[in-house]
Amino acid sequence: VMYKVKKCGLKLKPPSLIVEYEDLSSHKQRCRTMPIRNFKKTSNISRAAEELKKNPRHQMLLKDVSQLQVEKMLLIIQETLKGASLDDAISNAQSALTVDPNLDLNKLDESKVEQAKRIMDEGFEQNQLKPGDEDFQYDVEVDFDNVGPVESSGWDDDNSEDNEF
Amino acid sequence: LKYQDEMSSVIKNKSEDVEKLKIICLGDSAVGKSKLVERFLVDGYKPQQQSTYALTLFNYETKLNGKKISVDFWDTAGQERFSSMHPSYYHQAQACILVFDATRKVTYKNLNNWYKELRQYRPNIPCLLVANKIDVDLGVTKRTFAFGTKHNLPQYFVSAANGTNVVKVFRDAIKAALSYKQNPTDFVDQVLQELEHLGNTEEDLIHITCKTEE
Repeated sequence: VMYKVKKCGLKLKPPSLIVEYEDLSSHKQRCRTMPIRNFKKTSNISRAAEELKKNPRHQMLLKDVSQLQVEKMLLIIQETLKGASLDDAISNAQSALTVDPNLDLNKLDESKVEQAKRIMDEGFEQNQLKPGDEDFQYDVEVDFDNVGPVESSGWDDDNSEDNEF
Repeated sequence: LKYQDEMSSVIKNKSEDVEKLKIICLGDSAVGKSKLVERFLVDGYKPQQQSTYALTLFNYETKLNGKKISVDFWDTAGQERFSSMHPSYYHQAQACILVFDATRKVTYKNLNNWYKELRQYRPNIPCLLVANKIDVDLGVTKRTFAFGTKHNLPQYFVSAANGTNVVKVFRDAIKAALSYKQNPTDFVDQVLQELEHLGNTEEDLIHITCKTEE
């Protein structure tokens, strides 16, 4: 049986992940509730997400939902367990799973860098063209030299660190 | 006579020798260095060599002007967290692909440190500057970045995700590395090249052995 995942959401009580999908053989819209057992304020988010994704009953559906997406749902639930309002929980989860573009990743410890890379990979995969994709072309050359008006990036303005060279 | 045949095939292999090149990737954590190499190698990709603590090696074979070329692309494996690479990373490299993330200013600012370290070990090798992740915001391609012009480096707007200009950068890097190797300007490189030529005496020696066998 083939499924097409449409949406992924959550239920707070009891903590559950909700996946809306289409059963491609019957073309019926369905909804699966996946209870997250023993989920606490202190639970490790990525481990809980991994376990959920590995669950034999849910595997078929969750293989099409990224680890990061599952983590985001779990994080929202966990924030509310800690007492945050739903709005705050959503925005906290959002910012925890976004890379601050001003952060110098060279200065973070390895696990934080790995986390940042995972978040960026999500964006990468969304834009990725792979061999086999319809629009994939091995050699893509674009000349940006004559694209019209050019403005400064503004990244060269402060000369503070630039003097040495 | 059989012995001589074996010997001549050895000599033949030698004369067809592949030109070996080393090209290093440099730049901050998560600017997409590995993604760029992987995108380039997607065609006829050989499984990557074993990754070690400090680096990942990708080998690529090609032909340029009828000459067989074997390129090792060196990629950091997180060592950039120490804001510095081990000297062996730079050792005998013939070209450098210097990468920043066009969506993160800090990676552009840090180019200065990487470039400084590169020039400390490799004063004259060609260096190509890559602004990666242009797929996230195509607007960056209309902006100027002074670093490249300031240091006289060719600059490329690139996306490892959708492939824009990836192959071009790597082909240009290979050409630049080859011409550097054939005409090095660093003193040490010149000496090394001399030594490589001296390697021919080995062939002469085999010739002599063959002749005595006759």
